[in-house]
Amino acid sequence: MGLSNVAVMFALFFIDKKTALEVGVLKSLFVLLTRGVMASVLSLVGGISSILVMIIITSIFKNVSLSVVSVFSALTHNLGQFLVVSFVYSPTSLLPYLPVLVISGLIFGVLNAILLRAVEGPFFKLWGKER
Amino acid sequence: MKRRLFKVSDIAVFVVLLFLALVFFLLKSNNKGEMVEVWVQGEMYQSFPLEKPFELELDFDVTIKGNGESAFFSHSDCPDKVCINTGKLSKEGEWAACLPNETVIKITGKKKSADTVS
Repeated sequence: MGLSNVAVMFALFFIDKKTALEVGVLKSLFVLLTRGVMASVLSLVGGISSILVMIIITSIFKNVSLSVVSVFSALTHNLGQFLVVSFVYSPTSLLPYLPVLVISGLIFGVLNAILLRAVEGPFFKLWGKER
Repeated sequence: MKRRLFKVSDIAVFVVLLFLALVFFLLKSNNKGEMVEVWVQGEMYQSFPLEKPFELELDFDVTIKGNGESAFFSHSDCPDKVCINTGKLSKEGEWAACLPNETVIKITGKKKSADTVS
């Protein structure tokens, strides 16, 4: 949980933006089948917004590191999900939860980036393509 | 293009984020809440004074309890039990949600609820 962004980042960095968005949508469909409608809406909103943020960051900062991109992706994802919950269930105050959102975004952002770097090699080998 | 995993300048970014997290933490209200609001499917269902013990059994198998000091989900039929694991809420602005059951409990203070940012 929280580490599935690796798949999206792999698609974004090594395939193309369109595929990254497709992976994001497919992930949400998977969540729909396994955890239901609300969870899939959260996944979709969090997922698409975080992909858009990654695209924007990598366009503006050409040499940005994987970690920073991943962290902002996680932060956006968390924030998007919070806003959906707030909108659908009850307007709730964001402030008490911002520290948690930021810290978990940092941790999971870095973990996802490390994981991506770790699986790149093996994945390309499996794929049979050159990097 | 091979992208680096970490750069030295990342430290600056992370420090700023940690600083922001600290600021948000310090801004968080430490006031004990006054009311416990129970919201179901986006609408306020019932509210209770925090200082009086209560037990609310919702008919979709969710129970919310107040022990006079805090309020919390004591029982739910959801698979993940995130709501229960959120624990006891007592401060203004705190909330817990059970998404499968579309239920939220919020602690509110003197101000009325429906603020999106406190």
